[in-house]
Amino acid sequence: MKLSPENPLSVEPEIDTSHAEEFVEELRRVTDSLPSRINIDAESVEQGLAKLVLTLIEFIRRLLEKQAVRRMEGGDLSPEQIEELGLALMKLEAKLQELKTQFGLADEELNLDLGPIGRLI
Amino acid sequence: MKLYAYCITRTATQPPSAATGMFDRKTYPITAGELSAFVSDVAEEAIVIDKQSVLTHQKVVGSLLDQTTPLPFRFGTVVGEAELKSYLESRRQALLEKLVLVDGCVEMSIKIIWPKSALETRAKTDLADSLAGTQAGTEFLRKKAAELAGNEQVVQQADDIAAWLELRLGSTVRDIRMSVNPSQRLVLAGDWLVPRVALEAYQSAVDAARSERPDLHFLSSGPWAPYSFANIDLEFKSQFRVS
Amino acid sequence: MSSPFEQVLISSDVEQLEEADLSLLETLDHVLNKGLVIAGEITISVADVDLIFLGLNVLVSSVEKANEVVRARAARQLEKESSNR
Repeated sequence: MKLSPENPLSVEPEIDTSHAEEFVEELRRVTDSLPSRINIDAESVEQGLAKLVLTLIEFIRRLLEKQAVRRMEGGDLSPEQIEELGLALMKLEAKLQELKTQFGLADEELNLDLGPIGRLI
Repeated sequence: MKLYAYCITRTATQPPSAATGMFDRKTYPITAGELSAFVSDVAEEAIVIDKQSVLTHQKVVGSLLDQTTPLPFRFGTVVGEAELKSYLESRRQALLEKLVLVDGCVEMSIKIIWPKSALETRAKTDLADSLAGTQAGTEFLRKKAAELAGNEQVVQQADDIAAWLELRLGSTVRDIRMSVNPSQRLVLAGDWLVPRVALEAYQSAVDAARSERPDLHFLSSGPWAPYSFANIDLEFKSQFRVS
Repeated sequence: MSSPFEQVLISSDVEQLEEADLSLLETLDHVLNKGLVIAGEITISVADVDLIFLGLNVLVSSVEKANEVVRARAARQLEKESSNR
């Protein structure tokens, strides 16, 4: 957008980018769902609830994983404890993957936007 | 008779140069003291969210930018006249303060995408790699540790980009609304409240920033009415969203 | 108030909008998620048609209304198509 005495502030917003296709892809993904959408056909209600529950479990699972890694690196776990912890978390991740597939949910769908706090995950 | 509301201005404002709005109906002001809202009549039962309606909304609001900075309503604000006047009266103080904040400014936007290469270098634990073996659990945790270290690095990089951009453009703007999403390709979306007199300086700063970071992909747009700076009631709601 | 049901917005599928319309997407990002809001609202989707209802208090009655509006719209579309032939 060029400003000059001959070209005063235009009321038409201009878009300026060298990567139009990339931005189209990303913006479509972002604007695709309108805010606070609730699907009211039966299948979608069930899926909506599943999505909510799985999102929360996924959130907790990631926190547990982080905590486990921290303790392992902190050196206060025995090799046996590390192995047990790792196996348990591995099974949890596998189970959650199974549930996601069962409900036809993609990874990106289980995303909780917590604003400033959210970036802890 | 319902009204489609476009934006709020001080009462002295002249009508928008876009004389017609939604459904080709005339735009006109509804006044409550020092505040006025520009509206047009709605008799239809429904408004389709399509290209034409969205651009019509933006056209009416934008056509006021050449004489003042209005507080724009969100798309799809349909109200009765009494309800609208009551809103203007009860929120009078907050709205006047917002008008002072945005006075003489426009909103400019910047969006930044990580190029593909940045995403590929992020370590990802493939579940298939964690095979059976006596040390499967430990292997799993070690891989997770590496992945988390990588993620932290990415979050740090995203924060660095945000801080850098704010540094480059901050002196030319009055206020900023920025959202950073390290896990998305669209890593940063920023809206800047730029005084009109500072627009050239802002533009130069943007151009300089673009050339300083050729590894990032930029999109800049504007001028817009201050959509990101207008909201007086729902700051909390917009901060926390479940998708 | 004659009916608790205030107003209905119907959204056409975003997919139907022109493919590479970056300008429209950028405009949508500004006018659809930001700006002053007078009433609380929720979005309900019926058969992939998104309806925005103004007023959280109309959720129950709006289910029938939603179906009504979607049916009327489909009927109008059919009418348009048959008159175009």
